[in-house]
Amino acid sequence: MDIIVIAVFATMVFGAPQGIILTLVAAVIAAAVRSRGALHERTLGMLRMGFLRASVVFSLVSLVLDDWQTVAIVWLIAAFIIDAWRARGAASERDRWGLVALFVAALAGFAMAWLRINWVTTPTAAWLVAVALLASGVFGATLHWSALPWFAGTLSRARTLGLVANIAICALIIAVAFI
Amino acid sequence: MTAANAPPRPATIAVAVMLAASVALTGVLARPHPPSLSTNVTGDSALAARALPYLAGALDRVTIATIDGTTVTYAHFGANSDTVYEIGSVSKTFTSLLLADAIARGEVAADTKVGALLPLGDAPAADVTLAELASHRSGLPRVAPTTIKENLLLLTHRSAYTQDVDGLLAVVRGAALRNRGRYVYSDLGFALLGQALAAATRMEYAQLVQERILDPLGMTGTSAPVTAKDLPTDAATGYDAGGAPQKPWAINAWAPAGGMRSTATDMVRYARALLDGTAPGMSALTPRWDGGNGSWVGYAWNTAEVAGRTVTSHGGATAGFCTAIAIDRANQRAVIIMSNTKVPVEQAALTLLVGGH
Repeated sequence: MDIIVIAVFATMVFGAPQGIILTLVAAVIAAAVRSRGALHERTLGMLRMGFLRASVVFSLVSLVLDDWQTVAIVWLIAAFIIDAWRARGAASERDRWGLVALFVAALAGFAMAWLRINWVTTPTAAWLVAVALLASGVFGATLHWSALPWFAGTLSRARTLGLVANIAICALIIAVAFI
Repeated sequence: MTAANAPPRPATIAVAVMLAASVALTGVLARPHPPSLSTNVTGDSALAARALPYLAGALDRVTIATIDGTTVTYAHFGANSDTVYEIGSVSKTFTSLLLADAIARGEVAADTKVGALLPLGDAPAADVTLAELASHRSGLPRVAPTTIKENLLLLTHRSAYTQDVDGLLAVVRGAALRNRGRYVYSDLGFALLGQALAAATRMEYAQLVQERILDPLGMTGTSAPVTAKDLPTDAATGYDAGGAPQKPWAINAWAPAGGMRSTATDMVRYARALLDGTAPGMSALTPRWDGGNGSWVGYAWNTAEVAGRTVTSHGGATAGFCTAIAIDRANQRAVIIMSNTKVPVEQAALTLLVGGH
């Protein structure tokens, strides 16, 4: 599962900063459980874990800026666009389902933006620029689609559940925005 | 050359262009459309022009009413005198009149402890007096601690104030008192006060305010909905400051603190009764305690010197509305501003009250 999607959901449910801190703590625990070897090896291994780095950066930026929602919106949209264009060079580590999950997360980011950004004071051009960037991401993802497998590596139950949960949570975030 | 870095086929490029264009078109069509202040201005154009500079941030509908002696003047932006607005914490002024009226009737005393009226057991709040609740000196927190359910309600633009009387009392029983005796604004305190008065008079709060204030003053367009079923199906709605639509409020046991809805016509009736002293419980307006920032507080009502005049006022906000009432009793003047945007209008009301005489 995307740790930022989890952080967004947790913060929606528990409020800020509780949700952010809870997610960060969960990420640290998950990283510690996954790491192997002596203490320094485990520490280095944890530092190499992308989800932990993402959680730390997201938490710090959100807390420093005191605006987790804007950080989440930018993160969710940018993550898809970057991944869509990076797919060419790292196909072995990426797959179609991962890209679909990131696209749905980007849509959740747009739902949050529609709802949470002050569009009275923020120029609509900001929305249109984000839409243009998303469209460019879709363009890039489509170009690389045929080169990607549905599942990278071994199809595991955990990965499948994670993807489904990721998409379900994003759908929930989108639904909450428009209920 | 591998499949990963082979140049895309023309058909793939065409599909990519079509999908990207579809996303772009959908995004453009779904772009936010924040409302703006209505350009349909009716009523007194001079008042509208005078008020407009002070309405920065107001979206959609605004009504302004001024009273100067026997003259009442209205200006409306996209509204009329019977447009319904949520008046938020201006509801507290009704609750404060109910307290003063109940004291005058001998039903309660200012120093009656709330624990004598409501089943609060040995909770710290049981020791608080009605006067402390009415003047925000009880030490109770502003609102109840936020729960997961309330977070989700807020996210879906619904009121998070959902507790019935039992739920409210449970919150109060668990609340600690901090800075008791000092002015600390408390919605929880006023909700508790309203329910204590309801218990003392053996009526529901909505019935109490109806019988003792709304009916005597002829305020037929004002109500205190308790639950969503008490709202009309076409209940007026408003916007937050960012232009996001908000669901109408019906805040159950919190109604005494902010659950009422009213019209400009009714608020003018209310203000006139306050100016001529015929409203029930007029002693609620008497400033008694330090309200901070050079102001004084009575039962709910704030009193301050503004441009050399003694002004009694109160503002109110819900998720999608703001209202303010400011009265100058010495000069028999009042200003009421009602807006369906959550952007404060209290300063605008004070400015209009003292600025254009």
